[in-house]
Amino acid sequence: MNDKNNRINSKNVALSGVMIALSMLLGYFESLVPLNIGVPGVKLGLANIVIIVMINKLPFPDLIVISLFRVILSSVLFGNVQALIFSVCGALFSLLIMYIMKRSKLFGTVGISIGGGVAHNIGQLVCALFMIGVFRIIYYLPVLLVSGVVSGMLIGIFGAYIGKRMGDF
Amino acid sequence: MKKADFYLVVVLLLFALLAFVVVRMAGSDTGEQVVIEKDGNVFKILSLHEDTRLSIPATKEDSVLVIKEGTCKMESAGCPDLICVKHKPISHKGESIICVPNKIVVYIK
Repeated sequence: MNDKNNRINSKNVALSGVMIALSMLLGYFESLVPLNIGVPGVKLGLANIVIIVMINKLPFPDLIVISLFRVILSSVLFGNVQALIFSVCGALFSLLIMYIMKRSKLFGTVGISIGGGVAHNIGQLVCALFMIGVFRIIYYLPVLLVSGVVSGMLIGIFGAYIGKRMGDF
Repeated sequence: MKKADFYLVVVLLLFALLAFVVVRMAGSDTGEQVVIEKDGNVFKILSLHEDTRLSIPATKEDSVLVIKEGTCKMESAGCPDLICVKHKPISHKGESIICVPNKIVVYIK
């Protein structure tokens, strides 16, 4: 928030816009390749590559904006507004966890990504728990934990590679 | 990968395993009854061993639940994502099919 001057700030705004577009595209691309293993909520989370790469380059508020706008715009454009509240819960909780993990300086990119993937699934599960008011939905937890770890690891490896290649700009 | 990353993976996977065991402990044997809940209340309880077809009223279009040869599945529904319809058929105790848009929960007891 406290950018030293306006030039940096406007650069961040432009960068955020590009990243919202990119993450929406990645999310859409992912929806074209259905991955259905009989349990809802298992997915790769390609859009998280954007956050993983940008978490080192943009301040936290900008990351919130990217996350939130991606989720809202994707829901409105590609349908499924009913799932919007779940997506928001998952995305924001995941972002918060990733940011805390990054600030702790304990974890590498892969670890942060795994934390984000698992947090996303937990966020959605908790949201569903409150929405539907049935404790039974917790039965999906083990599968969602494992899927969060696996997809988080893949996305983290991708993200670390892209971040390294991109360098400073 | 940093060391902490590795520990994180181990802890999460152990936790998943624990959660899995706890969930399975709740019932690993074939169930007897199919409980259908709508809006958080019990809507109907059916036997898993009698082949039936049940329409569950929902906002748009009725959800159709089919019980056949000891397994239970959602045949059709009017929800947008059709996650409940794509769900694999359930037959074990504790397994469930949950349709969030229609607030329908089906589980085996």
